[in-house]
Amino acid sequence: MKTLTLSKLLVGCSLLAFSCKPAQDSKLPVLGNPVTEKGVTREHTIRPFQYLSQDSTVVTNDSLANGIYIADFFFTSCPSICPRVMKQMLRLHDEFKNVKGVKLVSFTLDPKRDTVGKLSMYAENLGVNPDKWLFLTGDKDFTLDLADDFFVAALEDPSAPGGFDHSGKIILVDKKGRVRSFCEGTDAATIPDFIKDVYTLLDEDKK
Amino acid sequence: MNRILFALIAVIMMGLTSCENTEKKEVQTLFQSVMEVHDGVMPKMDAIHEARKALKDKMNTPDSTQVSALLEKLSSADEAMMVWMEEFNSSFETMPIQEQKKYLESEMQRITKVKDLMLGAIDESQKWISAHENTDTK
Repeated sequence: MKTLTLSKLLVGCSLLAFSCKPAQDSKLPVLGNPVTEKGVTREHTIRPFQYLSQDSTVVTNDSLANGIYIADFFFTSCPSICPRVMKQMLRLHDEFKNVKGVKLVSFTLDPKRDTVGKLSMYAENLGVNPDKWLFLTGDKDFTLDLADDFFVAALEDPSAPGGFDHSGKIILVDKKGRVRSFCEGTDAATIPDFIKDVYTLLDEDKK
Repeated sequence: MNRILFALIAVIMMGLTSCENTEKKEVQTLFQSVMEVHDGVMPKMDAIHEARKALKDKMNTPDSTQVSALLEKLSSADEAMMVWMEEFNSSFETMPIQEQKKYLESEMQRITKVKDLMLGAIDESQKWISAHENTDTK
C-alpha cells in the first residue's frame, strides 16, 4: 500500500515537472538604456529609418511594425565573419519561414557595392523567401549610427576595442522597435536559445 | 624484385601524400592568418566612422584644409578595406596548391597594408581631434 502511494506520488511529481511552463514563457526584457528627452524617460528604441530592399521596396520602421524582426548587419563581400553569421541567419529563416509575424532584416554596411541588384542576386543565391528576409541598402554613415541602436545601447562592452565590434550579433526587435534579445551569429550554439526567445516574443503579442 | 618495387612505390606515394597534407595545412594556416588580420581590423570601421563625425564638426573652422585631408585619409582607408574584401577570392582553394600559397601570401601583404592604412588614419585623426577639442566651430 505504502509502495503504491509512493509510486503515485513519484508519477504525479514527474507529470507536474513536465507540465510546468518553461522559462521561455516569461517576458523578455527590454534591452538598452532608457532615454530621457525633455524631462520624459522612455525605453530605448530603434530610430526611424528608411531603406531600399532587394526588390526595390522602401522599408521603414513603420512597415516592419506589424511584426517582430531578426536583424543583422553585413557585407556581401566579407570573407570571414559574415558568411558564418549568414549560415545562422539561414537557420533562423528556415525555422521561421512558415511562422507569421516574423521577418529577417539584414542591413548592408557597404551600400556602394551592395546595390539593390547585388542584394537581389545575393538573396536569390541563398534561396530565401524575399517577403520573409529583407536585404536593405541605404546611406552608410546613417547605417553605422543605426547599428549603435541595435548593439551599443544594449550590449555595451567597455572592453571591446573601438566600441561596436561588428562581431556578427543577431538582434531581435519587437513591434515597438525595442531590442529584446540577441545572440552571437558566429556561434551556432547560441541559436537555440535565441529561437526560444523569438517564440517567447511571439507569444507575448498573443496575450 | 616486384615486392621491392611495390614497396618503393608505396613509400613514394606516402611521401607525396604527406607532402600534400603538409601543404594543405600550411595553406589553412595562411588563410587563418589572413582572416585574423582582417577580423582584427574590421571593428575599426566604427572608429573611422566616429572620427569622421568628429572631424566634420570641425569643417567650419580655420583648420578646414587639415580636416579635409584627414577625412580623405579616413575615407581612403575605409574604401581600401571594402575593395580588399570585394577582391578577395574566396574560391582560392580551386587553384593548384602552390598557387594557393602564393595567393594567400600576397593577400597577407595586401591586408596588412590595409590594416596599416586604417590604423594610421584613425590614429592621426584621433590625435588631431584631441589637440583641437576646444576649437570654435562657429
